[in-house]
Amino acid sequence: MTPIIIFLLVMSWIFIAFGMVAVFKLKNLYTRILSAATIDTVGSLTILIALMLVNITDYNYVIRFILLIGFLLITNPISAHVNIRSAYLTGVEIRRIKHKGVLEREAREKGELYG
Amino acid sequence: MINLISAKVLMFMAVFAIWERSNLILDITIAYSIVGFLTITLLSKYIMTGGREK
Repeated sequence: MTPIIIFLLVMSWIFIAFGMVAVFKLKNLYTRILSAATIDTVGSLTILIALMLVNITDYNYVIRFILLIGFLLITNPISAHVNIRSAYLTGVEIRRIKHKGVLEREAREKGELYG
Repeated sequence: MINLISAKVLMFMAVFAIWERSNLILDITIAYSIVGFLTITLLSKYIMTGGREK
């Protein structure tokens, strides 16, 4: 059981590290919220499953962890959806990513790019 | 961002509950997760209805 617990904990650390990198690296608000919510949900679930396996013989812990896992599975997507919906309805722009060729042509037309 | 913070605090509380071998801290963790969800939902609703610009 201990190797499984260690594996799950290490996986959750990797997920959380990726989530932190995504929050800083992504430029659009919507992609940031989506990636942070998804990765936090998965990271939380792996940690909670690992902690549940630590005391698998004690039903007091198992019941509480099952409740917590079920609650997180249901509410994290809902809260992410509510966040993104409120951002969209208040007018946060969806940034358009232009093709590199279009960007070069626009820069050449403005005179910022020579050649 | 509040969602991120509450998720991290929740994970920390769950680990601390196992470290201290206490069921009470797990109950508090469940309550905290409910409060965090309600906070985000109500805050988003407040922002959607205009927030401080009303």
